[in-house]
Amino acid sequence: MTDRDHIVDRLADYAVGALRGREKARVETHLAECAICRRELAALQRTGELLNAVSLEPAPPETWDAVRERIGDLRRASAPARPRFAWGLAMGIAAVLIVALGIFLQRPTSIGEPLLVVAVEADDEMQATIEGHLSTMWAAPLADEAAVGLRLAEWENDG
Amino acid sequence: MTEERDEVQEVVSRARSGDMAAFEDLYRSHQAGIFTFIRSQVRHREITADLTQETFVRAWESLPRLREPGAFRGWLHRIAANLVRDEVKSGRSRLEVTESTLLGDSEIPQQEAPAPESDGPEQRLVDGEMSRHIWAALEELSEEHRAAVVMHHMEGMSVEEIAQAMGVRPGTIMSRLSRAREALRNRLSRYVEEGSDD
Amino acid sequence: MKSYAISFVLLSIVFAGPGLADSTPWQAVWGSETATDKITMTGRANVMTVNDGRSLSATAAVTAARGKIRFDYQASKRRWSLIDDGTHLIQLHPDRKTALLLARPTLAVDRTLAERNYLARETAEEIVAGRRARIIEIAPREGGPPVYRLWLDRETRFALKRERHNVDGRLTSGTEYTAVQFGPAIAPEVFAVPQGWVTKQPVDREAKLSLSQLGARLGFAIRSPKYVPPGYVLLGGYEQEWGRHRLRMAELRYTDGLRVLSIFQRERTGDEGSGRHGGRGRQHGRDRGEDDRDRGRGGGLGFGPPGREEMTLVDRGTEKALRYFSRDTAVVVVGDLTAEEIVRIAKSVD
Repeated sequence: MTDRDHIVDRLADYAVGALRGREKARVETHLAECAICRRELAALQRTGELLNAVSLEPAPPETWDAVRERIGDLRRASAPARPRFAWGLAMGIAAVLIVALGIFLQRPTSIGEPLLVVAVEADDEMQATIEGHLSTMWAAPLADEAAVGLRLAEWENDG
Repeated sequence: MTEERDEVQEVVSRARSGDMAAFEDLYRSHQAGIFTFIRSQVRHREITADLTQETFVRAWESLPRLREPGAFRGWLHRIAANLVRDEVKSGRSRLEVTESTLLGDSEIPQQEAPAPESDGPEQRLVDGEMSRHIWAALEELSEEHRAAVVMHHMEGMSVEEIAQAMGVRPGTIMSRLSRAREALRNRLSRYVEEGSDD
Repeated sequence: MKSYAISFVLLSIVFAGPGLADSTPWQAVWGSETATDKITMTGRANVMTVNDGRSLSATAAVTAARGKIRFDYQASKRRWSLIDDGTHLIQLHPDRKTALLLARPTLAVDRTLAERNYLARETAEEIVAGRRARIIEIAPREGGPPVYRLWLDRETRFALKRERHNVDGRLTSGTEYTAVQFGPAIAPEVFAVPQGWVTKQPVDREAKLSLSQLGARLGFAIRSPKYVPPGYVLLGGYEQEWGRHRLRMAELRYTDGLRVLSIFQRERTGDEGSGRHGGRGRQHGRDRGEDDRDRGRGGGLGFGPPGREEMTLVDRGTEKALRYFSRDTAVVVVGDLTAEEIVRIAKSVD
């Protein structure tokens, strides 16, 4: 009986193919004469088959766009200064937002529930609040002052 | 097997020199494996998507430093595993573990309906409910055991590939796979014992 | 004798080389904030930022000393300068010989807040501007892309390169030094408005107020959000007046240690939320002399029947802004957050 217990311990190793040479032969000899262990091995093998049959879960479809955009940013960040590409980028942002927020727009809205509108440009009021927020970004810890300074200059030019 | 590696090698080489279309190919081939791998550790779908994204962005950044283009898959998993380790260390994912052991439906990866053209004994139907039980059973394994199972059985990676990805000896992977196999055999007994066929 | 010893100790700390590199990532990061308090620096940098969806870039000659810093920008043919002397932000326009003084907001943020909400970790070492730099990545503890990547000079901890990513993982700004020198003599006039220039200074409204003070000043009850993202704390309330039309609003300002969230609010007028957003003059139904350009600007996608409540979201890359009309208040939430978070915050202001 001790011999049998020992074999049972090794059945899982055998099932995954971890055994070699003498160990493997020993298990196989035992299996030839032990129906209980054969049944157990079958259960272990069946477990493996079940696991093999589980399919992979794909990443959400928008993941590639996000990856590609970040790679694009990496390339732009290391490239020399580029000309502005105002509309394309703004539309791109709006389009991505619409996709990402699609759930808001598609959810059935009852009367009185707010409807989300994605704007490409900010009107005067929203522009004003963004400017108000910008000045605090200068003072935030670790702020990239040089870069915030660039934005401040643009704002001051418009204002 | 060698042909596959040669093919990957070719695409990786093109991607390395900046060919975005080639990198997209790599993304398409590996995204589901990486997503499933990460999700098996992290569970939260959005965090998994973030980490998947991060994995590929870092892969793009570090691609020039990959010494063996044929080992791309294992190397990609190494990147993902490091990101997962940081994520788990940060504490948030650990909370998800205790909550999701209640077999909540939204956090456990759902099996897709099997493709009609699937054949062979391995493509026997693993339906939604069984899939949930399998994932619930996997939850009970340690992270390392679960990772090995996902990479070997679901992603089809060889023991050597997995060993390379996780930075351990193949023998260690083997032993994780067999310990996991035992534990899962017990946990899934109603599906795997004789007389459990429908 | 004592000050001599202190200077020696300071100098040896600053120039100890590898000794300084033993600091933890957070220590190095905070060290970078004060790197030029005790040493001087001149350098040149390439600067890039997203602004209003577009990409801006410039080169800058940078001068720093005694906690003050000056950027002399050049972009195509334009030249201008920005000085932070600790009390003001001074914009210099050499062609017009004018200086614009802006109050420098003081955020008084507790460093432990940032450390609680973010992880700093060292990832690698690189050479920037010919100097060895440690790369430190700062990312939210709950997951998500890093906010900052800092390349810190090993000797001085000065940030030789800095990248900021928004909550969606996009690179929104970056500054990289191409040349840098530590220790040159720098005259104090560098950080002051040149003699004879015209100085403009708008009214300073940066006083921090309580909610009731704010309400009293603006004449309506200030509402607080019931929800702010985890990790954010309230810094205070501010009366704000911004933009061409001097819109007066209350601002509730929150921070998570690195990022700032602003919740602006004002009283609604009667004729808003109709799906088209024109200039302010039109909203008030009074003729304030705005031209048609104001009315035309900023149309949203505008679907939905008129009269229905709306939220308008704008993504600027560097931040998002969402306006929500709620009962008798117009609320605008501005911050570097996901759209879902911003919507949630806006809806919780009641």
